[in-house]
Amino acid sequence: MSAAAPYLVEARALTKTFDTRRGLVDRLFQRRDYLVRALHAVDFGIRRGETLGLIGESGCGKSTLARVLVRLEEPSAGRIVFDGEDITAAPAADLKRLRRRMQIVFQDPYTSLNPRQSVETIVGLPLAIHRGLSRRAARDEIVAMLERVGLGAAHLNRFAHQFSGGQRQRIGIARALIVKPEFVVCDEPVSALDVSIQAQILELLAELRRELGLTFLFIGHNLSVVGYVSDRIAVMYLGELVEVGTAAEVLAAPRHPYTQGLIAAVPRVTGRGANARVRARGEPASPLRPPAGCHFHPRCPHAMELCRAQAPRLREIEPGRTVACHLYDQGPG
Amino acid sequence: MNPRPSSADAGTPALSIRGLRTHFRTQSGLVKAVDGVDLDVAAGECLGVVGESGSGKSATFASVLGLVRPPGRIAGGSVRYFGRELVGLAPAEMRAIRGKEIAITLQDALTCLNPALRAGEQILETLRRHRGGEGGAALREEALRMLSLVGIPEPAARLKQYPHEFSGGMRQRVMIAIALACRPRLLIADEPTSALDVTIQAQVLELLAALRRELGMTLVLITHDLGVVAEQCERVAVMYAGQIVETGPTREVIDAPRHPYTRGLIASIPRLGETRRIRPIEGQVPDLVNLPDECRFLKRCPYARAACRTRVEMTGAGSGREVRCVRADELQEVPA
Repeated sequence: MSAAAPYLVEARALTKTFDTRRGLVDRLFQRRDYLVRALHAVDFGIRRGETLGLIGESGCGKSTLARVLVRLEEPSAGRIVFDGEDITAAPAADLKRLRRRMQIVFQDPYTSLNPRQSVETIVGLPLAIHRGLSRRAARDEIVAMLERVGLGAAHLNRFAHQFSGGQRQRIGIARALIVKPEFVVCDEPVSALDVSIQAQILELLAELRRELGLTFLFIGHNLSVVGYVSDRIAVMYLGELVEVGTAAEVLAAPRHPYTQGLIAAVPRVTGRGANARVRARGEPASPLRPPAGCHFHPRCPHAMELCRAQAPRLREIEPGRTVACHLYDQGPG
Repeated sequence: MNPRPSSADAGTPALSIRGLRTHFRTQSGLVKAVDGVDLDVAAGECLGVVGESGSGKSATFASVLGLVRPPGRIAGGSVRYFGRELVGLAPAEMRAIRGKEIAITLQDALTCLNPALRAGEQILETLRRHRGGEGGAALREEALRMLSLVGIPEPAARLKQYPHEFSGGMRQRVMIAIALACRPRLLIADEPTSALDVTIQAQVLELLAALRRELGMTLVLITHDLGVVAEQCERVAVMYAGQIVETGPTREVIDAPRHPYTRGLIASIPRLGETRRIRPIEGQVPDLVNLPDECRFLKRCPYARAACRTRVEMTGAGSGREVRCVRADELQEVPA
């Protein structure tokens, strides 16, 4: 790509494996398939001021990636670089400093807010932690933040259950933004909301991004929504990135067969193209037993012999577009 | 494929709802979840019912099936199934219709299936109730056929598995198999794909469309996704705050919505590959407790006038369309 802003966030060969063994029995019988490879060698960068959309279906590792990136979860291998600094193994004291610069908005506004805390406490807590502000000293900032997200001083003493889903998500956004972070991970922030409310939140995020110059990782499963907010899109399948490119290009001309299947499956309000679809057959395999070779090959309409044997590597096939698929190999190997 | 002889139903709607009102008594007051719904579903058609949370779309069809439980009750109105009145039917009579004539699939298959019963047992349960005269072996054969019909691989092995052993898409198929076990003439699918990923959603929708063609089934598709309606349904009914606000042929309603809520809904959806700005509907759905007798969209409507402060009825808008808006005719001229 041309001379663009430097990367604010980088994932380099990021891998996360979960051990699902529950206890003695599993160990005694030496179950083999106990390791879930939630992320495998995930590699990407997000430039300052950019919104990178991350698309994938349930269980593909999107949320794990979000949590690993902001170090809520420890990576098993690979590196996380934030603003040029390797934070993969940053100790707790550094993490506290870092978390003032990187925040997360969660999917479910019903479970991500403490039902026993008032809005003032919820939104004020990051200020207390990161700047040692007392509640009284913080109040003006809290009110200003609430007003910025479309709520106000009248809401300070209310509790989460007194709000609708859309309002709760506004509270979650206020909590994330009050410490003036540079990087915000939005993990399915509108998936639990009705469409008219979803649009309100999307517009709010767009305004805040413009005003505050935020850098976003926007995770979602709704392609229309992710495409709408993102500059670039990364598509994930069974813990691996399969395609990365500008949002407009990926949506208009997807290269990876999985991306093609995803886009073809989206029901269109225009109601056209419903019949002539390139469908991904079957269902994603279990991450406990990912297929050999390319993980997508059992569902892929173009699968070749090579795809069953060898996993394709993510590589640039045209400027600004990387794809992990043997269809774009120049020659064998 | 349908064993039932086709009766002289031609012209009689599969479902005819008139003035349906379903109320829930709550601590904060009476919630009029369904408040005067009129709706016809022609035999063999696919009707989409669109609306957001609390619009009354699920409550309407729970009422149709007699599934409303206290503190809820049907406060008035009529529901006719091929001409036969269902409201006020004795529980035993309703049970004979439910499952056999009219079946429903619910959004969350995980909570709707019995976790302690094998999938096969849950299909057999329905078959035994309505086709108990046939032998056990014949019914098991039928259960097997239903599982393969909904596209579940290795159905014989799957019959013996419990719901937790199925993926979300497969569970939804099991629920559809149960609903279809007795070849209902009317299937109400309540958000059949909302919990599913998009590639699986496409497969389930394709399955429903194929079954509809093969079994000649009437389908009501309840959803919040206008894209799903656009691709699957000939007609659509848009619900808002317990009332239908617009009905008509899907294509026409989506291309030229007449009700300001329908307009707002369409303008607030990002479309794949289009960069046009979305326009959210401001405000929130009104509290359904003690609603005044006026247009329910009033407080969020950019076109509201004093005239909207009266009870608004559905009015014909030509070519099979109806709208609940006093300004529908003038707004036709206002670009969306």
